Formats: sequence, structure tokens, C-alpha cells
Amino acid sequence: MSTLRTNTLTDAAGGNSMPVADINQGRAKAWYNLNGTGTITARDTFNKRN
Amino acid sequence: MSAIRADNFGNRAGTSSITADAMLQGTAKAWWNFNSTGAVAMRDSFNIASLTDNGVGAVQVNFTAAMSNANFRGSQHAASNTPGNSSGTGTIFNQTVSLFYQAQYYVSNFTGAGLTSDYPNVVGDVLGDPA
Repeated sequence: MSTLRTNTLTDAAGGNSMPVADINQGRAKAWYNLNGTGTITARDTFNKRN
Repeated sequence: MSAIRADNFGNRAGTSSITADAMLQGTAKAWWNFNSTGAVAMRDSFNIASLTDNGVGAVQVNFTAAMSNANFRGSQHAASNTPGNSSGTGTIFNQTVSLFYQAQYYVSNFTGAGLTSDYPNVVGDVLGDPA
């Protein structure tokens, strides 16, 4: 497993700079799209166990 | 175009890191802030090509880059400019309904009484799998 260590990620043109800490804090930790009618079923999810 | 391929991204001190998958999955694939009163006008957005006014309270948000499917997670709120309400949040949030499509997100906003209504502040975002 590889880990890239840097404090800031920037695009190749030098724009869209963002600290890794901001990405870590600002990103969603979980999301879900469910059908809640009848038996609940997940259409798509991230970081949802059940 | 250059691309960095790694399993993890971390700060230089090594004290904080996230997986590439968590960063990809957890970042918003689109977001918007527009005024739906009168001529619908976008204030700022990401990955939104255009807005289509579908009538009172109804706006179609058209993605620049479509999602991989319609199974994404989206949310949106509509608010007035009037500060102060019973919850003390500073803006009045009302009922909303959303429909998800691969390349569009449909928003419908209502008053507390259930009547369709345009609002000066319509904001939302999308999480999911990009195409």
C-alpha cells in the first residue's frame, strides 16, 4: 500500500489548491440512497455497513 | 494531464491520512446555490452546466459531467431571505422534493402550506459515483 504525504494538493496548473486536512474534514464520511418502502433496500452507499 | 496514483493521502507529519477511495467517494460531485425567483440565476456552482426553470418551485439542475447512475445521494434546501423563525436558524426552510437522474437533479420547493413556491436561496449537493 502506498501513501502520498503532502500538506496540500494542487492541480497541474497550480490552481484548485486544497490542504489535505481540509479534504479530510470536509468530505462526507458516509452517504446512502435507499428505497424505504417495503423491505428497505440500498441502491448505493458509501461507508454504510447495514 | 497528470495523475497521481496512491492508495492513501496523508499530511507530511504522517498524523492524518485518508484513503483515495474515501476521498473519491466522500467529495461532492456537484453543488449549487441559485436564486429561483424571477429568472432562475446561478450564484455559484460546481459541475452544473445549466438550470431549467420548470415552473413555480420546480427547477431542473443539469450536470456538466453526468453521474454513473441515478443511485447517488442528493440533498437540497430552499430558503427565504427572512431572518429568524421558530427554530432560530436565521432562514426559513420549507418542504422540498427531489428526483434523481443520471444527468439531472430535479428540485421542487413548497411553502409550509404545501404550495409550490420559488425561493431566493436554493442550495444543494450531490455525492455518489461519477461516470
